[in-house]
Amino acid sequence: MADTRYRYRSETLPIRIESGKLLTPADIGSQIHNMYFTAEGTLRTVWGPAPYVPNYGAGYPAYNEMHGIYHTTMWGGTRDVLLIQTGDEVWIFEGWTTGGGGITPWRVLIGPGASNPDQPAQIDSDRRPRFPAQFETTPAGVVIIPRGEGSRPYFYDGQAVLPLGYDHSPEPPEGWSKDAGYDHTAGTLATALDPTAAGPGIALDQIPRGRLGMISTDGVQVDDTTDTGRILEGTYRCSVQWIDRWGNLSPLSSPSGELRVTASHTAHDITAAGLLQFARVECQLPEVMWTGIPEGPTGTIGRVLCRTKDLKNSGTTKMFELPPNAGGGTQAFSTLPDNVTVSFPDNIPDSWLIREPDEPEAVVPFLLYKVAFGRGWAANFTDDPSRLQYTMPGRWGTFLKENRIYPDPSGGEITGMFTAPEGLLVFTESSTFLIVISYGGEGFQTNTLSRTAGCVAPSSLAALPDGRIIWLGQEGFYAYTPAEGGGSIGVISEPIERELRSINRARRLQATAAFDVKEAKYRCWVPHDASIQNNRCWEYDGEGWTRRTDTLAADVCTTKDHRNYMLAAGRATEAGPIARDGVWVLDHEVRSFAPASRPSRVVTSWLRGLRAAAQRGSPVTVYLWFREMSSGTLNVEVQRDWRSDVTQTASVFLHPQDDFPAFLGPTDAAAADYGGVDPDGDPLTWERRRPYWTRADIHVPSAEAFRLRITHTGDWEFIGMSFDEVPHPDSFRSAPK
Amino acid sequence: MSWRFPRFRLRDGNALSTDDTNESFLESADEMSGRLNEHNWASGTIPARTDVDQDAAFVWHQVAVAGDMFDTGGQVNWFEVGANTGWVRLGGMILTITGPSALYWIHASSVYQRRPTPPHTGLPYIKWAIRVDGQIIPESVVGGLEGDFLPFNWNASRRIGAPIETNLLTSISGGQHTIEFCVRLDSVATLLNHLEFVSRELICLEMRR
Repeated sequence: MADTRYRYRSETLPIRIESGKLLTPADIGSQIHNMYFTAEGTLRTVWGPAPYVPNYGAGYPAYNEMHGIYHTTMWGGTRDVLLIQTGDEVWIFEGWTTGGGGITPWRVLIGPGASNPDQPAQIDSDRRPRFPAQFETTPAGVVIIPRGEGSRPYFYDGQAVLPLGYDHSPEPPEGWSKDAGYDHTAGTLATALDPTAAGPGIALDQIPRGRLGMISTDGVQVDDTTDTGRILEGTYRCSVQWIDRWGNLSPLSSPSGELRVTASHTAHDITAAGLLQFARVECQLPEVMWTGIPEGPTGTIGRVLCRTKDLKNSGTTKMFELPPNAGGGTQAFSTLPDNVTVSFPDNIPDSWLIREPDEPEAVVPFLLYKVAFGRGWAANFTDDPSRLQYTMPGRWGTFLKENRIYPDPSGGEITGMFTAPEGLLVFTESSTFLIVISYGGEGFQTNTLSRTAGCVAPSSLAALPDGRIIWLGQEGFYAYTPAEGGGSIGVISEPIERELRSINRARRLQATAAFDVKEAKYRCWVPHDASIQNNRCWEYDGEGWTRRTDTLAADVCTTKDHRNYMLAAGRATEAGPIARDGVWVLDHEVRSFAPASRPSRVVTSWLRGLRAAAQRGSPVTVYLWFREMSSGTLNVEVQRDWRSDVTQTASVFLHPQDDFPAFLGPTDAAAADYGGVDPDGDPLTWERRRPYWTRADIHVPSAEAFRLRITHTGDWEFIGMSFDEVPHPDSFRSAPK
Repeated sequence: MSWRFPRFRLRDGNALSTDDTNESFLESADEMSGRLNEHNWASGTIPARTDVDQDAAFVWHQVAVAGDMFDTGGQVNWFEVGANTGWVRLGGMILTITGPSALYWIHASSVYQRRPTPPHTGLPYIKWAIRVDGQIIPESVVGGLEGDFLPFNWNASRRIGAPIETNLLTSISGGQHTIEFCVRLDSVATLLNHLEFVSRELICLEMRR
């Protein structure tokens, strides 16, 4: 038996993070798997997940393969919105409809016509490598970019969902005009206005008049009542623009055909009394009518008519917005505040035309969208993946032609965007740019932050409370640390670099991440080991990494309300095992859903006592510090000398042996029953679970190094460990076996 | 009450824990002492709001009075406006609207004539307007002595009805508001002391989004 005088005891090792390096400090593990970091500073088994919609007896909602999830609040926090994409459909959660059967409490927001959606669309979901569905909250609603071949952006304001912006322009209207001037036939106009017919009558120049046309007074004498000038021949053209309920503008229609105003001169009529009456030339100005004004698609609430000034005489060919007749002037939101009227009597003189119309482009489908600087920023357009284009302020689907930026001069596809304190971070796979307000004060400019570090998965971007922004890049996980004038970028996943080599690179673009508020961890799900699903979650607490595999998350989010739940859309396995797609509440567990048994594990690094670092030694005892958890035991496996073989398995209790806690249930003979008495016969009391030490004797003679694999499929909580070792400098072993 | 989930599931054999039990219980207790919210109530299910769906885009409000301008008997539904009496609301032309902040598109129209009193020769210096919450909105004021507004052949000794119309597009804050259709008649009273307004209508299209 070893002489206890030669025993050396290691320090207590509070293992909390893992590293794939061969030589690491003893308090860093080789693997922390399905364990989470508690508020008390321990590692505890990951719980759950729980299905967000329980089985009320009629089964779970019929989810398809999951592709996205997003939570936000609207209307000052009074509207709770939970959106998912499952298969070809985008669903919204309506928590008040629990008992309706079918897919309740979900409702189909976007999907094929057969699914009776609010917005019919053919998303064409498939299993090709794609970004998860993208969502972004604006002050007016949520931009939804479903995942699929036929996807395009949509907008949902909590009540209605429609395509974002307009993807085509209206048809032009048609113009109509009367001939300038009056019918000179005696007995018509003249008779009606005959001042001698009855009473004082109305003078010819008091009749309603038009306002279009231009008058020339060249050669007219000031006191000449018979020649007051002439109307010049002129032409006008008109365009139409739709405006939707959120203020988005369509492209201008092409201009109408030319509307001609004929030349005319001072009117004169022969009255019934045989008098010659002259009217000033202004009386003969025409008004016109625009007809065939096209109705806009669903969601259109107004039409803006835009007209040129007199093309022949005004000296400009620009279009100007026509103010409405009803009121509002140039500040009115549209000329026609409806989507019904097809004609507009136009009596707006050229001098009232002040405001030039905005000229947006038709919305081309894109894959990425973020809000920054009070605008929406879209990128990765299907016809131009390297283009970044921003909207008009507050019009979240209106993209003006000139508001384009190409951050990457080499034309790299934009693969991510995120809002940082200094501006908007824009990524390609191999570069990072910062979009800031132009130093000149107008527009925006691009600063290059890195030509080597990029982002491969737009949904992997998330921010830590300390301001750092983390994402998955080609070489692993990067962090951007904000700083005045542009922060710095560095790799933070060096300790797990070896593990990250097994990421399925063809599908890393589908990685998804969110920040968990309760545990204060960045969590990113990635596809490992040739998986087509995100089958491993890497967690980062600002210092180190751990991993978990409780769900296959196609997408994750954290609820923006008081609950701060982390929700995953994907697959979890129920005891059976039964794989189920759906929406999962992570780190929560309910009685109606028993997750399939899964191991949770702490693997130490390769350990040696400090005094024996250069020699072989024989670890003889390990001391494990747990919190009392259950009435069972867990296994401690021993490995030695850099080998994977398990040379010994020891079993330790998950509760103190000398002072039993109260256990729930009658199933364990060693445990007292809930509601009973403890082994001393005293009534049971509930306590905060207590920490305790336990020990296991291990047999690893003359080892270069050893490590422990502490694995359990039930619940347990790990605090730390230490071990005793006896040096064996005169080993007969010449090489590790 | 939001959808909440217990944190932990107690299993047989687990050590009883005040922390775990409390944490699971608090998930529900938070909500019990909190407010009912959108998780529990469908839009429009609160009885006081069932008159109008919350997701309505347009809400139509209208009031109309029909009269016969050829009614030489009781002159039913005619409304007389005297000269020089300031702004007068036409009979029945008021809407009281309660709703969220919205854009109101208000239309007001009527027909007036000089009957039944003997013909007057004075010109009607008449204006009409929309009044919102007691305030005449200047942009809605129409009328005057311009020829455009005079009924055709005003001075002919014939029965003449003249239409008037005005409209207004304006943003209104949430709450209760009154919309009125008003006219004023200024004239030399010895020549024209009143007008009779016959059919009239006030429409407000509440455009909520």
